[in-house]
Amino acid sequence: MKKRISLLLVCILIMTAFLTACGGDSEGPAGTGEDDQVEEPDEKQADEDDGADKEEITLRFSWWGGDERHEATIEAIEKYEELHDNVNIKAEYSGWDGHQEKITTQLSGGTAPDIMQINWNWLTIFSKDGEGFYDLNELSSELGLENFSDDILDFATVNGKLNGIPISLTGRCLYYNKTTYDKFGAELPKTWDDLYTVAEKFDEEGYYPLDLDSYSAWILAIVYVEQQTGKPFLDDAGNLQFTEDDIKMGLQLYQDFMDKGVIPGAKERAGEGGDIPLHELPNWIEGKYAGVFEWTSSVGKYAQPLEEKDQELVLGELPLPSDAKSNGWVVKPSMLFAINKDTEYPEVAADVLNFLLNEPEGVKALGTTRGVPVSESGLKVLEDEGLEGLEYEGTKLVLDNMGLGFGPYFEHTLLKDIYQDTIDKLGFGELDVDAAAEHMYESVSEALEEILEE
Amino acid sequence: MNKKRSDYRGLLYITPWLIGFLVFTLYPFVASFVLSFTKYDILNPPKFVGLRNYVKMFTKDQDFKNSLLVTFKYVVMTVPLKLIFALLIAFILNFNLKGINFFRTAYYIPSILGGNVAIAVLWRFLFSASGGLVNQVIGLFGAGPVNWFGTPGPALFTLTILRIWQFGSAMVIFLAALQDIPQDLYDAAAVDGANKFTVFRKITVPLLTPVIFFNFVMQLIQAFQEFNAPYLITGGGPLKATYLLPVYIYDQSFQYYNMGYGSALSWVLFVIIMIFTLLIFKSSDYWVFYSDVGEGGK
Repeated sequence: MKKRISLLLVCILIMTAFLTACGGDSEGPAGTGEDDQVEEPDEKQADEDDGADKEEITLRFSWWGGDERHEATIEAIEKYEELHDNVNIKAEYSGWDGHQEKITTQLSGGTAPDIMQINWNWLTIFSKDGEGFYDLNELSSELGLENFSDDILDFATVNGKLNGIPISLTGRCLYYNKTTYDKFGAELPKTWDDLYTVAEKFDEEGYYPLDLDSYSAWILAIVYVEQQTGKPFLDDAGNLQFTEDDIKMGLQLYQDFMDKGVIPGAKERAGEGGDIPLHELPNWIEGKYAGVFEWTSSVGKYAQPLEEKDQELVLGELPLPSDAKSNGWVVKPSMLFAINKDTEYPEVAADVLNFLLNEPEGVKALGTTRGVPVSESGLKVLEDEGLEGLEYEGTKLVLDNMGLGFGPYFEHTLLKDIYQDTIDKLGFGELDVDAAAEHMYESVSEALEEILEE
Repeated sequence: MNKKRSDYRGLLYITPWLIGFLVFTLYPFVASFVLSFTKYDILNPPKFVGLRNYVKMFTKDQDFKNSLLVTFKYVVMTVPLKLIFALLIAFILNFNLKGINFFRTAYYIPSILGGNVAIAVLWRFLFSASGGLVNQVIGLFGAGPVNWFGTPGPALFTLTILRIWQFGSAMVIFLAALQDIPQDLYDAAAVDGANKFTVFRKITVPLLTPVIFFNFVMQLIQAFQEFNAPYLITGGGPLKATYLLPVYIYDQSFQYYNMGYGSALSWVLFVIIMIFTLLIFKSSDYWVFYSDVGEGGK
């Protein structure tokens, strides 16, 4: 009998432990409110003591990136903690793959970090009404917002609320493998026609003056059409501005590029290795695909393998006809910092961001691991240190030539898949230009309806 | 009283499993069923939409049709080939050869590696069109280079080969079953003058049918659920020729944030797998032989 009772007790113990654990989890977001109340007296006391015995503050900070960015950011965080010994920053970092899923779950579960590095198009997903993140206008002095121009802050403003601070801007630029161009005695292209001329000079099997994956192909096509028509593909509210004929004009460019050997055909490209990114392809590393249309913030990974093989990647010009109605450059914030709308310590979080973006010590520690800074003081710090390189050159070029804008909806996953799908079908010869244009026009219109309806 | 006590004790012993099952299996299972009738983007509360997800799937969704077709192709190609291959290797490894344990281990290794990223990278290089090892080898026999990843059919084939290459776990089960076959049956057959092939056909295969049945069901289910290889190696391309249903479910749920629609797709996949499994179970009466039941079949 005794045994049985003790057995039952153990059972109950286990079950209750489990239940409370569950309860604790689901109460997460509501629970923070209670914590506030408990800690408030402390906070007041700290103020009265004038910082002599400051409250311990723990902030969570998440970002994605590669090793270089991880190391630089951790170094910057340590510097901040040295200066503020009551602040403890917990770093949560990973690669890009899976990061968006993680943030989505955290945001919906109320467990998101206090400071987040976010992607620009996440604003259209997480903050359609501007309520998804902390309104940074309220923290303008802590953040040092005077270092950012209105043009730049506009990128991150939703419904009048500043949802994030752009860290750097990035734009699509053409970069060419000069070593290969020299080998064929070709000049770097300056006009659209030059590309065809160069293609004729590249008379060895397997060599092309440019490579375009399906998404890059569509962006370059848009640049071409915008120069002709002066209209953006989508406006900022996500309305389609191109007509079916405009789309056709863009797709025709891609078709011509393939037909005349400016770029390798889609089949040939896919055959090189399934889903491998260009910078890992032997054909890129050996200089056979001698050009790329890429974000300035990503050019490093293309240049590095070429350097190792004694080849040189150089910045090219974006072709611009003299009668163009717009210059067509595509610019967007490469990433932003945002603050959790439920954070307990908005001022401290803002101060951390100010340190990372504007103050010399933080800026120097981060370097260009998140692109060339758009903060005026941040940029000046790095320029004084002697900033150079492909990314910097490209970014300067882009900033001097801001085009029609790109709209936050352009990179919506649903739309991106449609662009890629259409270009692939055209590239593989499954659709001709007319049919592909019709397909894209209809699919994009339908998808936009779905996206904007939500 | 005694019986009751042992009931409690049993429950206590399986508590850890029970908790895991309730939280990580039963709850998601039920939740996904409920969500399949909603429109749910993770961030906002789910909205009930009735059968809209299912109706859309079967009337409008071209991607679903394509994925379903590709998945069937994949299953039909991989499952029988993998079973045959696993059985063949198990049969060879059942002989008492020198260093047999080494080979048994070696052939099992691909299964341990699974569909991870390193294998994906290896596969891309093996089947690369210019200079890939596979093209070099078939070049020796005078065959022209195949554009594996650039042509829809061959692209799916590379994934099939990967799956067949990972035959180890099925092989180990076959091997165990082969060793269970009593030697006296073989001896008797030898006395009667049966040749190797007849012995294999008349003794080995019938006695293996329960294990073939088991492996068949398991492989079928796993093949329907394949995700890693198409996701990592081909990204579903070219032209969605390797866009298996689980990859589409992933895209809908985590790329487009249509959790409700993703759940509905999962349930359709579940029902499809269920139907096929039931069919195999039904058919087993006619071809699976249990030695303790007596005369073949039933």
